[in-house]
Amino acid sequence: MTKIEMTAQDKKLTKRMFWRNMFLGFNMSYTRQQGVAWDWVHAPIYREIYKDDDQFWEAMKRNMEFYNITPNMNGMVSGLALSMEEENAKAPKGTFDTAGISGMKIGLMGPMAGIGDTFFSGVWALIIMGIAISFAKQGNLIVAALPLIALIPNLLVRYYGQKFGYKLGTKYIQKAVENGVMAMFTKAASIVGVTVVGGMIATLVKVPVIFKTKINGTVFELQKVLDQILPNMLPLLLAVGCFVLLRKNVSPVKVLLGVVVLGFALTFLGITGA
Amino acid sequence: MLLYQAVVVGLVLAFSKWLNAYGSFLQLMPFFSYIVLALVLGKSPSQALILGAAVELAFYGVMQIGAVLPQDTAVGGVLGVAFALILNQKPAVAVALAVPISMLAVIVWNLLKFWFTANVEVFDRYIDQRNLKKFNRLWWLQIAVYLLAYFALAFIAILLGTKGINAFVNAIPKPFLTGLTVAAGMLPAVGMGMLLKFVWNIEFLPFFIAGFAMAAYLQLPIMAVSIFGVVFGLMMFFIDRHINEVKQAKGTASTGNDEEDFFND
Repeated sequence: MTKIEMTAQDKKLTKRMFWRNMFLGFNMSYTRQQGVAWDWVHAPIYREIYKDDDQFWEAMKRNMEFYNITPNMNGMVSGLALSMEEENAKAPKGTFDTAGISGMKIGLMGPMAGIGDTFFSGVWALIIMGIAISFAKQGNLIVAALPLIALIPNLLVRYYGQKFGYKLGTKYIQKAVENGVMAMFTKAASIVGVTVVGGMIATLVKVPVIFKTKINGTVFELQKVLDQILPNMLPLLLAVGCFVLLRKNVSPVKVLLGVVVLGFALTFLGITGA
Repeated sequence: MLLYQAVVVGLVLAFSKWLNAYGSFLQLMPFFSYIVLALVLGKSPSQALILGAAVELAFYGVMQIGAVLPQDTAVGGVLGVAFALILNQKPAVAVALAVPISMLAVIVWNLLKFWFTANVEVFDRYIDQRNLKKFNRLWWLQIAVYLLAYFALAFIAILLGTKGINAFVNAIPKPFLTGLTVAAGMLPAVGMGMLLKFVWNIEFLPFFIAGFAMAAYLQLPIMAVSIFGVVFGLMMFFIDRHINEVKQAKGTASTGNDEEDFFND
């Protein structure tokens, strides 16, 4: 591994880039998604790198292309892009192929968004919100302090991703995508997610059955019978049912309305209740 | 009074939508907005958290993947909790308001995004003209309009909607409220289904069953289930890595043999 020492100017640039990258989620468009935001984030960086005005505007025009990534994961791509743009600035005019920068961005945004959405929106948000909801239900104000922990991975991935991206250069990260390490990470994160979802269905989804009747003098409580077969059976069936419908591409809005109607119907029939 | 409430709820919603985009922070801290909401409305923060917990449960698992926004949970959550706080209502009422609002509010985002899309051309032109000042000005103008749109949405909703919603909520018959509570408890199933759809692969079935069994039979808390999830994830990662190494070693060895075979012939 070649170690590149960061100069004072590089440090200043990466620090600036870290804060500007917080804005990547603003002003998305249908045609370029975060393309405009990428340019706004990196404009002062390009200004520092390219003393030549022509080159600066060439870089701005070149980077206005379609771009879409989980914003938390962009640090690494930004770091890589910075090292490549610097190389371009140093190289004599016309010797550095700038198509490589676009290629890198296009090549990385898919795998990065894959792992970013799985980890941040899937696994991490799920765990944190699960804990937060259980505190908030009791009106416990400690929830206000939870972001101090919740935001740590977000900030670390942004900061160190950028640093590693800049230091390691394209070779290492593209290699990680090509030899499947990135896919393995995504798979591992998905496994955590699936396990947690399994647990959440048992703890958070509630189908409270109150149906009771007398058969030959003995009390028949439906919930007790169901619990003997499988605890939390109805929440499991409900969640799997939603999953199957969504997988058949039924729109989420329809599934949501269906669940609401089902809840009302079961309650009016006297099967469920509060 | 209502005017003041409309202004502060508008500000809280604009702030929430700022956190929604800025560093994607809101996803992990919606309760922060609810506490602020209670403080500015002069209500109990604990009550806001209880209302918020019911709302977030109904939104549980709804995630914003890339640019696709199925429900605007920020708008639904803030307005649902705000109405319930102002009208001193039950959590079920907060959910009943939050869910439809979150679905309708997507329209606002779509309109904004249309405008941003139309402006892409203008950004392109500014780059051709080499005018960074105008480029930045349009960038900040868009953010200002984005924040203002959500401020206005909450302001108008509270100012014009509170009276009507109050009458509506008071007219709800009791069995209907029970049905609402039951439906709210069932709603997290939809979010769970969405998450499963996003990551599903039949190979993950054992982990899904394990997670369910750990919570249903062993009564383990969420944190414990998550730790076991990490254990499973790491195990599979190391197994996959090993398989990958073996495959690559084999791959290079066999090509070597092919070459030898070729030369031997």
